[in-house]
Amino acid sequence: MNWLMAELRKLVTLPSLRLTAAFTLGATALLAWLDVEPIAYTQTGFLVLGALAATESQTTTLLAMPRRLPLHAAKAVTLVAVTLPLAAVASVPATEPAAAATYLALTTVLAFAAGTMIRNALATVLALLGTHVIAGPLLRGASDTATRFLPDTPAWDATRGFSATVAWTAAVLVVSAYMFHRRDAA
Amino acid sequence: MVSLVRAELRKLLGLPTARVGLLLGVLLSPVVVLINAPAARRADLAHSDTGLVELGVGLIGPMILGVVIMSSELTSTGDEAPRARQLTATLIAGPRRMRLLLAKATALILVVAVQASVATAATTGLTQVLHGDRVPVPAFARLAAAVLYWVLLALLAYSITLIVRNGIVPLTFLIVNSTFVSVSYLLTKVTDAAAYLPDIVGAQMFLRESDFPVRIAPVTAGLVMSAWIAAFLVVGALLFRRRDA
Repeated sequence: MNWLMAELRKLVTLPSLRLTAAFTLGATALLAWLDVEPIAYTQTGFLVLGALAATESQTTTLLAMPRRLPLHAAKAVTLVAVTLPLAAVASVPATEPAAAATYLALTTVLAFAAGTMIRNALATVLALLGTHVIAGPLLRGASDTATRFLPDTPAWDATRGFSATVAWTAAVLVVSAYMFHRRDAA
Repeated sequence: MVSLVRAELRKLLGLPTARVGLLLGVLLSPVVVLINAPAARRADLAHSDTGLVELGVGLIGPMILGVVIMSSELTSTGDEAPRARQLTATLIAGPRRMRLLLAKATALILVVAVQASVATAATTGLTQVLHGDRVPVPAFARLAAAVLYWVLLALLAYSITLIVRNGIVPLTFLIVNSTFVSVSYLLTKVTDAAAYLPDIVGAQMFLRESDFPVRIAPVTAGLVMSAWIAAFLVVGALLFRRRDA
């Protein structure tokens, strides 16, 4: 279980992740004070969090823990463990806090999986903002049927349920695990 | 100086992320015009800003370019050499920092001006094809103002990246702020002073019918936005000159 604890320790001590978390909570508090439903904004912080968690340096980790699939699973599990309390706090101002927290945790895992595939923090953040902040709202405005299939639907309308978010997260996680397993380390 | 600018141009256009930004900036706005056209025609929503409003989505392009022209110098080049950054090589080749910043700004302005001209022409041209007489052809000055707005926002992204020395923070903030969940726009609901924030005031250079809390004449708007950007650039340049690379 050492490797699980190691992943956990890395997650809670990386300065960039701490900074992102602090910034996200601060911005959420500010938005709540402005009386804005904050999840559509707050999710960007969690997207960055997941992307950064995935794109931190890997070489040393792989020397210490060469079995990649268990490592990938450990990374995802510890990320959820760290994210959930954070998501719970960030969801306090939401109209449906439990649903919002679940959505934020799932979204962080989705971002982590995307980061594992793209392997570049800036490009990952760009891709995720493209889907969650630009393409999502745009497609939702253009067609109502699209709403059911978009990963970010609960961020804008919590009553729609998050089956699409679950499906997207699971799919990207599986593909990223396969790629992490097969590719040369970078 | 010319060779410095040429070097910066080549570096910028060689970056994969910059190429994505170039492509997105050119394509996104016309695509949004296409997507919005059926609904706008059905409800007869087209007005004199149609086509120019859609240019807002494409702003992601100049933002990416403005961020990566600097952040690419600062990110670690790989796991094998954790602290190696491109900036070291750049400063060895050209140690005078103000000239380097100027060359980068020039390269950025050139690329974004071309990109914005293509995007503006495509978006307004497509609007004319789709909406015909319902949307008047915008005056040339408005189109030029839209191009200027893109260039200034690219410079804003560049200067913020210079100040915070990280690409992810400015990119996230600027993209989120330019979309459906704009913080600047929210602030205009709280205080009228927010109408003078750079991205809000700049839009008044070329938009007429959008919902602005305070009406500002186009030329004044351009001057206010330029002043913001100049201030950011000066702070970024001073920090870049004083700080360790």
